[in-house]
Amino acid sequence: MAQKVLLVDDEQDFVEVLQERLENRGMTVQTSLTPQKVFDKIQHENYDAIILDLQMPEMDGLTVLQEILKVHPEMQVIILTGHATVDKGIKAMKLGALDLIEKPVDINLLIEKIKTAEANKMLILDEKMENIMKDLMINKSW
Amino acid sequence: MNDSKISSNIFPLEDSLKFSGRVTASISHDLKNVLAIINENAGLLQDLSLMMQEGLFLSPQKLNVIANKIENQVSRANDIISRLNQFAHSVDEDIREFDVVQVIECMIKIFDRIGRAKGLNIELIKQIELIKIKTNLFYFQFIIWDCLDFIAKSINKENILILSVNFTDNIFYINFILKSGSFEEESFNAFFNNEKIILEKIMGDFIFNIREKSFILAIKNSHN
Repeated sequence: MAQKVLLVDDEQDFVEVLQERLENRGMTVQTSLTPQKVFDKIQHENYDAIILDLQMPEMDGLTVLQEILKVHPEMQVIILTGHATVDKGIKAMKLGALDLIEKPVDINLLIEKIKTAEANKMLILDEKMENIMKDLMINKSW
Repeated sequence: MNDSKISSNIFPLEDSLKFSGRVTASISHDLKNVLAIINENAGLLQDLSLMMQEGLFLSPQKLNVIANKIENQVSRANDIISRLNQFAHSVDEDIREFDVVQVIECMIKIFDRIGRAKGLNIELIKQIELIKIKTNLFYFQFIIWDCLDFIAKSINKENILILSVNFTDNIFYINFILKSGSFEEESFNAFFNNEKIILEKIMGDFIFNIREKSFILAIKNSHN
């Protein structure tokens, strides 16, 4: 099944062309140019990975990351940035980002990370389902 | 305002280096974004070439769109590098005559991404199109940057900063006004105290407008 990706960056030209390249590789890609729209989108859609720029207008990428994970702790976020510093990278990973990739991006590396994100998410959802089943088994008499 | 010669007070080297670091970091970030777009477009051309080998029909218009995008980004990169070059040469002479409006526009463009990250959008209003003053260009840029940085850190939601520039009686003025809200006098005074040495260097002064809670940077033209 095609991976579903949300691409968040304020550089419209960058977002458009990366969207086209990922779609050419069979992925379903939605985009957002502002952090605010991300919160609307994650309320209604399920994504295998969110690719998030660290520096955007109005809200710092690390804050956006925190807010996403507060609502959806299972969400797999790949940080994409033009100015990765060791400090910011460590902070992002500590906050729960899957990985950090520096611009300009190697498309094959990005695809690899998206596939890892999908696998991680499936694993988390499987564990969730297993726990629900265990609860059912304990609480139901059969 | 001090009417004497440009001050010989020693400004801490560390502060000058920090300022230069912030400016070049901002410029390198902008360049990385441009390179990322060029890189993706080059990648898209490779993708399309592979798809054509497999029988995809590609319209010349599609190639033209990609070429235009690359061209636009090259032009954008050229502007960014021109700003870096202008900044790098600002230390060539201690005192020089320069077009203040052009320098302010340049600093606004370099600061833009940092400002927008904090929700600050900047508008420049020119009362006079060409204003030339003679002072220390490096420290002039430094104080403009510090003013923008102080304002960006002062706001807690999206806001518009209006910079109005004017020149009368051999004194150059920049009025910093927020479209909504205002500056607290207390935080402004703390900022003002930190800027005293640079103000001396460029023969400038701050004037706090209590009624409108805005502030003015005034700089004496040392040409005469």
